[in-house]
Amino acid sequence: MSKRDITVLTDVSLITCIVQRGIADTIVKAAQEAGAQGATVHYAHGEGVRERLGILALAVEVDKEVINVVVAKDQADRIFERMYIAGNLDTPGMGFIYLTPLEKAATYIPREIAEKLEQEEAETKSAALSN
Amino acid sequence: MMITNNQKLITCILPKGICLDVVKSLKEEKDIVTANVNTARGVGKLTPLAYRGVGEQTEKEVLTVAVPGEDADEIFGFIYDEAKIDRPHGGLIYMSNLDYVSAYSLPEDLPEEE
Repeated sequence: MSKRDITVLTDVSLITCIVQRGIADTIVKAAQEAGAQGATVHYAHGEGVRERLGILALAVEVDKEVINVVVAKDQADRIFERMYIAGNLDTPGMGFIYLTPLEKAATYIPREIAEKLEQEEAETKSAALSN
Repeated sequence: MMITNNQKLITCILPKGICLDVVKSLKEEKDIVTANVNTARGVGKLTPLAYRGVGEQTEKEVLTVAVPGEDADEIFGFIYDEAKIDRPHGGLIYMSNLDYVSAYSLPEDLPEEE
């Protein structure tokens, strides 16, 4: 077991978005404006519909960027939608996006924020009990 | 084809330079060889350059490990400690469920890397 107490986040989802190379920054910016705290981007090689699109099948960039964003479940729909729009993912060949539920996540949470969250949770519980 | 279920995928986004030590610890202390590492760039919001646009970009390493469901919580905590995630800019770890996983093992009598 862990040597320390881990503050585990449970209501979290992972948004993964695969787009043509060079577009990721625009999508990450849209995700951040919608409330995402950060993102990771890595490169990949894509194959598929590009073979049937454009002159000499060069219309769709074969180099891809894969964006991963971990978000709270209550923000997931909004961020997902903003990323979809920013990436023009309704256009054929632009890429695709999907949402994966996560069981749990953990990261560094400053002590004062963790205490504040615990206090709010305790208050919510006591209010529910008194009702 | 050997397929197992009740497996979890642990993913860890770490600052550059930590992942290989964690992989080594997983092999030596937990006998886990189903780890994979790739590099990525991380974009944060709470960085000094955030006002310029997409924020500061830093080099990251992404560790993914497929583990048995019954050991998942223990290994999650083990990686959390080994990777020293509990510090500012220490990274992020998360776990998701896998429906099916193929078995993977290394050949016997494989020499250790030097």
